[in-house]
Amino acid sequence: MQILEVHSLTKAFGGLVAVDNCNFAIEKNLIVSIIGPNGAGKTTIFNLISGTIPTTSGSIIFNGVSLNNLKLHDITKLGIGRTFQNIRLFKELTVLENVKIGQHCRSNAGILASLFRVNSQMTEERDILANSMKYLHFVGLEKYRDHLAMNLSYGDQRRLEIARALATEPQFLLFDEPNSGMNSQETIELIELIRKIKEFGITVLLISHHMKFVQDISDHVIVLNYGKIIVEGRPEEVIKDKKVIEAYLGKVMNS
Amino acid sequence: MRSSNNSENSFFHSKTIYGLLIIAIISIIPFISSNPYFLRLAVLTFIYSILSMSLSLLLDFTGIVSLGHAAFFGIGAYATGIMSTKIGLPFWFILPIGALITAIIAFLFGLLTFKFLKGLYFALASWALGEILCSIYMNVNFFGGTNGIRGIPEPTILGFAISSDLSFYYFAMIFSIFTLISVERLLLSRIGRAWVAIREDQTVAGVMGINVLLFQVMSFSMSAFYAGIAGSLYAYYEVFISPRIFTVWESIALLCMVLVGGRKSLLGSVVGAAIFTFLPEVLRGVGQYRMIVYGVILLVTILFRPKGLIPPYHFLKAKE
Repeated sequence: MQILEVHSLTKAFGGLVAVDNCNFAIEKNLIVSIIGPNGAGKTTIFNLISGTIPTTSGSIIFNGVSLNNLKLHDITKLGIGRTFQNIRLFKELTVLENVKIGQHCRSNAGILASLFRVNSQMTEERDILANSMKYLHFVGLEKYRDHLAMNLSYGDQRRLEIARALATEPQFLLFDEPNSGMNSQETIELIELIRKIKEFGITVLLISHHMKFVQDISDHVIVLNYGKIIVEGRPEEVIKDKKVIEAYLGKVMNS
Repeated sequence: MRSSNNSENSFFHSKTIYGLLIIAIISIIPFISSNPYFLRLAVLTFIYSILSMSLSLLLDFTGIVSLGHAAFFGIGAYATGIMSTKIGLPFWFILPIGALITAIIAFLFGLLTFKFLKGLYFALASWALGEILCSIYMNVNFFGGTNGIRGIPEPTILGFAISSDLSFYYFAMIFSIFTLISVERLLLSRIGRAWVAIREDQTVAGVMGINVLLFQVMSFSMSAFYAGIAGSLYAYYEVFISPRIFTVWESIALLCMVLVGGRKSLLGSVVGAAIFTFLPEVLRGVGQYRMIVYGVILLVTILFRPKGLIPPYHFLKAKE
């Protein structure tokens, strides 16, 4: 069963083709990694799937629904969550508020319900608080609930971004370089966290530069170079592939 | 921090007690000083506090700079002026309908502009809206032209006429408290969180599933609703309205109240409204030089207390 299908996806920024006619599908309940050298178009693919930038041509189909003409918030509501390469938390808000905002698309109290604090709104607020605390507990940040997001350590900020993305209750979660800037201990904890997320039945797509990390965590790897997919398959096969080695290290000169 | 429910309850209780205490003190003030001149300034402070709190909702909690807030103040005032003098409708009908008309105009204007304009470009568009409305009031006979509208009747509730400064004091106070409580309730709900998320980062707000365009329009429209209420009260209190009141200078004065009083704090907006209502009277002696004093106050606040006189509170209050 495929959760995401991408057909001849292309994105051009003026004359620069960042993603060039990509075709791939992602199976449900796997951890899939996209790797490739700098500028290969990995983050662009993420931005296209999550809807933060429009596609030039091609289509993205999520659970049978085409994402092409959908708004950013509708895509989130369908069940796609994401984190950012350069952490983008609501820095001036508290840890708890950050996660509560993630619950926005799973709640629906309107202006009048909020003004009069009707029962359904109060119940909903209590549920939002309980759920948010659950996600904070899951990433181990519940003791910092009233701290400002900007005062957390780097690793904790990454974890908070994960909790906030989980709060949107996704079926499919995109991690843009989740382990960048983490030390080896933090990376080990992150791998455990992502495996647990997979156990919840959430499909994970992630970008990383670290081969070791990708090998440890992925069920499937897609290798991108100059906006094109060059190889895909199981991590141990992909890493030995000649084309991948060429993309990263360059060709051996034959004279 | 230890137990979520306990801390929130105790916070709520202390807030209720402080709130009742402040209301009690404000209610006693007219008995201590019943000087009509003072009462008049106090009534205007209440009316301006409604404006500054609603502008704070837009500026501090949604991150939208508007130079058109006085225009919505004007729509409420003119709606009241016309409905009361030309049609003779009662107060209890006019005030909510006037505020609703204001909110609807803001909603339509927001739908047209937020899709295309951001940041300062939106501020310029809102300024243009204010100028257009002012020139309509001035040049269309229906709105009374440059003479404005005179002879707005006093409001009556259940046969009780509100005409003296003292009765207007309590009347305006009730609406000011209503604004404070209702805006705070909105800010503490998922709607308020969505607004704050939009202020912090629009792209991420969208990724969180927030319909950024809709919630911007909602914030703009709600803010205009309160400005409409203030406009209606102003028209009833002053008996007479003129197009010269609702210009961009008034909008800028309202922005000053929010900036000086305290960003991200509704009580700060009330304090700002009081400062900029009483100050012109205190400075009457220096005549036109009072604009210099305003400039200095704004400059000193921005340099030394960039967050305003009153510190932020409620959900933005966090452990450093």
